[in-house]
Amino acid sequence: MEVNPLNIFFVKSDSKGDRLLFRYPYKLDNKDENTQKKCGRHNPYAINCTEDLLQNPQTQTSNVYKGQLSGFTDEMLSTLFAVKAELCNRKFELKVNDVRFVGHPTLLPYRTNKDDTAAMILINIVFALQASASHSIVKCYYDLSKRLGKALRHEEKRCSYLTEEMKIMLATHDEVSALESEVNRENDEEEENLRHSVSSATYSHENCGDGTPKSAFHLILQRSSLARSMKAVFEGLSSTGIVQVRINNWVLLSFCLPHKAHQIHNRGLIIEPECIDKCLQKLRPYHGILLMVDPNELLASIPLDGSPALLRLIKLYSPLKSLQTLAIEADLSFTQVSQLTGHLVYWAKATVIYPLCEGNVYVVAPCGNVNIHSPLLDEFAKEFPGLCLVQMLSEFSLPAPLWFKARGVGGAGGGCGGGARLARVVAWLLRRKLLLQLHTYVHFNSPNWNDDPDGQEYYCEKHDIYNQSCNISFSSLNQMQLNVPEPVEPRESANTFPDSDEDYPTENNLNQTDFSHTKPIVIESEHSKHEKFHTNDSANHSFDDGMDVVDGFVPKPNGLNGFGHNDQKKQLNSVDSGISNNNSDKLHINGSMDVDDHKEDKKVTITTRLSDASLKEKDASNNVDCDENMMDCDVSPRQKNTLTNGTDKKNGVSLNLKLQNEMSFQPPTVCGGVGECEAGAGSGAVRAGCAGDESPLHAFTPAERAALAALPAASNPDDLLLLATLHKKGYFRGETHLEEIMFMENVTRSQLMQLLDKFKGVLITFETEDPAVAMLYPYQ
Amino acid sequence: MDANAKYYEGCGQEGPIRCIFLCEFHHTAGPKITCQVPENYISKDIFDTVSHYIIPKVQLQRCTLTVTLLGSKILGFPVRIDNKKYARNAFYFNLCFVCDAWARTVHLEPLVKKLTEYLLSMELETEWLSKQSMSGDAKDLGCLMKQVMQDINCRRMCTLTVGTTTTHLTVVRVNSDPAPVKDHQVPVFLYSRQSFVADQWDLTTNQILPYIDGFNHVSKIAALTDVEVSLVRACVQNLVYYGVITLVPIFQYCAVYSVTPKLRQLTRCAGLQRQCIEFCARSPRQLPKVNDLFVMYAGMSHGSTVRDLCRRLRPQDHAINERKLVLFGVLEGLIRRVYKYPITLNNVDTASVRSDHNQNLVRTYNGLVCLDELCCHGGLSVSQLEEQLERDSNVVFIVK
Repeated sequence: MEVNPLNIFFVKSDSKGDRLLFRYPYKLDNKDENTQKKCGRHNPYAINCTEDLLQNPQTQTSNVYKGQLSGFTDEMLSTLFAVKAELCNRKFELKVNDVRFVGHPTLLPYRTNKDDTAAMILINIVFALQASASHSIVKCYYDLSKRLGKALRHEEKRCSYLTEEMKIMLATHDEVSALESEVNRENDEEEENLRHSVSSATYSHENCGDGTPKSAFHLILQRSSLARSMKAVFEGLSSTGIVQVRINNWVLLSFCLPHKAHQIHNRGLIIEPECIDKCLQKLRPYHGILLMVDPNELLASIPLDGSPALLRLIKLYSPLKSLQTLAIEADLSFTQVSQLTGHLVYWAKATVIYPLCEGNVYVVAPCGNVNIHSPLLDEFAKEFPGLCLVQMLSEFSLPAPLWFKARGVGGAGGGCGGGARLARVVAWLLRRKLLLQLHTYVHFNSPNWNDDPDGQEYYCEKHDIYNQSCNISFSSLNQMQLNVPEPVEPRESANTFPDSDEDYPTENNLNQTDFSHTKPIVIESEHSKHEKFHTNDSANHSFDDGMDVVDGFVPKPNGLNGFGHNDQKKQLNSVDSGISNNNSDKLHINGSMDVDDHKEDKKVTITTRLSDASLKEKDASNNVDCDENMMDCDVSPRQKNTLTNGTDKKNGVSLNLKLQNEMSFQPPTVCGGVGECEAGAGSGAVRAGCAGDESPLHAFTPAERAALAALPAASNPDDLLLLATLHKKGYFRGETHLEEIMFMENVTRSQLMQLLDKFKGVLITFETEDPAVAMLYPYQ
Repeated sequence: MDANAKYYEGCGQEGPIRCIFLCEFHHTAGPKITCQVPENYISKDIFDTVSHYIIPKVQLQRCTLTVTLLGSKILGFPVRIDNKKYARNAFYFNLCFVCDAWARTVHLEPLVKKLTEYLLSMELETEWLSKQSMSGDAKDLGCLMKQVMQDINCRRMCTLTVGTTTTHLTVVRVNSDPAPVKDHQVPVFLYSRQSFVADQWDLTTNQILPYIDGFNHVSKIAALTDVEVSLVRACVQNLVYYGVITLVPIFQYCAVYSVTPKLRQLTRCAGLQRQCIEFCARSPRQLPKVNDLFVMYAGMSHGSTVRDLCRRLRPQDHAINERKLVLFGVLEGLIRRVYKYPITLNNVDTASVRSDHNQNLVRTYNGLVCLDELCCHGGLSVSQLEEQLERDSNVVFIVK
């Protein structure tokens, strides 16, 4: 209600004085109604106290009567709106009682008809609003007034449009007032009426005979195209909030009042532009759009000079597509797409959703106002014959993924033609903001999370501490803590297959030659020194029994002191070297280097490890003989490593993750050997991730590790790695929903769900709406 | 820059009164400022450009006028006294408040009006204003305006005494009218009870105050205090208007709550955590852990009632008072209540009305009235009502 304009005025002020040239609507209510209103509410039993009347005459508190402006005469308004030159070209805002006038007084040169010297004229197009209208509404109206002023200035400059129109208006005013003064000479009783408002009142002159209402404004509306444009502006604003007017059939003025425009689709929903801006800031590539109108209609309504990008976007539109998909298909950048989305949302042509898919969970929106009398019921029945809106909404009483509903509705509703129809129903309901999507957010339940107000630094510090403790004294740490983050060494498994390394593929040999030239070998081995001992057990376990007996094995390496470790490591290295008979001397060197405990650049180790793992992965899937692979991967990656070092360094972790994905999709019907290989590869990835400063596992605090260790799922290195990586990237702070994680990390929902299930002891999940999408909902 | 970022036009914040001036229509010089505090805040040039909004035409007399120009907002209430003794048979004046353009000024409007009325009556009685303006020595007026500006800006209230007349000015926050209070809603204090000055309020309010504890709903308060329920509703609505209390849904173990996106603040904001811990503790000696609190909140979803949650998570073992937990969550907006609305499928078909139904209740199954309200009206427990409704195949529930 308060969104609608009360009135539009057109005032000019020049050397000849100020004049209200046009207003719309111009019909004023009867005068006696006005006076009644002014007196306020009448209490028939009230005593009229004379003293009161003397001191406090009734003050007028409202100028709005029955949704129309009242109590102002045209002269008064024209003096108010004809501002002094100092106030021109800036915002004009005046509030009188409960009416707010807003406009942009525009000063422009115009040609007087007598001489061609340009004089300045001030025009002011003023909107009268309810004073309770919010500031952002006022701002929009101000903008519109400014644009109208600019359009008129342009047209005046181009073809003296304003001059011509003003001439028509003034002539009509003069004509009518001349006529009226004539009439009034005869009818004295109307004189009083005239004094109050010369031109606005609508008189029906019986004396004149024709009986048609003769108001100057009425005539102006017939004669002047500018007046008609203003009427169109006013009517557009009060009906749809969208104005598309061509001033003088030349300048196209497109304007949208979003507060009003969104009410076409959802009554009572007021969306402020600021809100849309905020929503756009939160827009991510995985979001999608849902058009509120038919795409074909929308295409038709776009003017010819509309952006081709927008046309492409709409042509390719589907509520199932994410913005990124749309961007790719329409060959646009994401920024462009999000800007176009913002545009569509502003004009109430679209809303932001998460793309429709079967896994989505919807509930009835808290604001969804449905009752047995609401018109939505009929609309819904018309759109989807045989379905009842109420029943449909009651289906969404409990949150469940859409595929589940599809089944349920198919059973209960009978006629619901499967998923496609359900999708249409959901889209319809989303457009009406009757449904709200719930997302699952995950929060990592660290035992001491109220101690660390800022996560990043804290973790970093912890991580350092942990590193030191790792290096210095293993035995001092309790075994449970150790168990969790301990990376698994693939070489270990190689170790368990000492007999498998008969012959290397030739390329590997090549690799090895390459590798022999490169430095990283040493690093590699140095690195392995750190890890060998603790990986030992888990690898063993994974191979030997395949059960979760990690704990049984753990104590052994822990129990070893530094010396023991060294021994074991040496042994490992020697095994390595033994295996790689082709370049045994090199590897021997490695081993010796290890023992010498050189300090190396850790970053390089990471990258080598990474490529290690990745290649291993490929090998595992390609070759059948996994044992041999295991041996290969120790050596083969080096060659690629040297080439891809830079790129790998950057997104090493995500690479790992992708590999993990691939792995999980591997068909389960592989021979045991491959399975074991897989585990080895996975553990390799873990090790790789864990090796350097950025290792995901180090994101956990010791207490968190302890909590993790208690879970049987932590023994699975793949799961652990995924968890650690996601945790490290901050996905488990309750701020990113599953869909976002899926999108960002390229993992599948089932993977995530499994992970959540496995680690439910430490992960807290909660379901709530996506704030970016919920911003466009009316509640709160 | 900070201040600019904070105070933009439309920020909706209140600002101080920058200046108060009295202007009048001089019989020869036209509109002029008689007296201004502080001096020269509104320069002569600015005044001239806006003067016709300050001393307006006849029709705009006795209207609250606010004009926003050149970075400031001028509030006025122009008046005119018709009397033969004045130079032009009338005395026009307007007392104006000047604020920054970004500030909200609606709350000052009644103040301007009352102060003007006060000056008007003094003028009528003793020609207080016109004498000062004629003599050109407006010291008394200046003192008065200075006092108003200082007191209103500092204390938001002011008591003026000139001669024998006294007037009191207070700034009252202008809020939109609160929604009507329903019987099943629960009032709860937003501030501590200690800061509440009881003798400012009426007797009925004082009577119901002790029972506003965040758990008693309106009709229960009415029963406990033996006050008519409509009076309780009116009092509660009044208190809501002044922001003393707010209304929350009634606590029930069968109630369902859902998490809002705000919940994540609990993971970040240490202040919120501390508050939550203190509020939700069973006893102040044994404080619950914030993880446990968070787990409790996170468990609230459309599917599970508070009862389920308590069975599953055993809040008493973690020193959590679940009632307070829910109350805190609702107050802070971490969770919101999920209501159940019964709705009849085909409203025209009255045959569906079963004999065991309460006739009055059936009429209200329109999707607008939630189960809590129905129970409160019908004096039924939720389980009783649900049982009734389950039997009627024509009634479905919308949960939102």
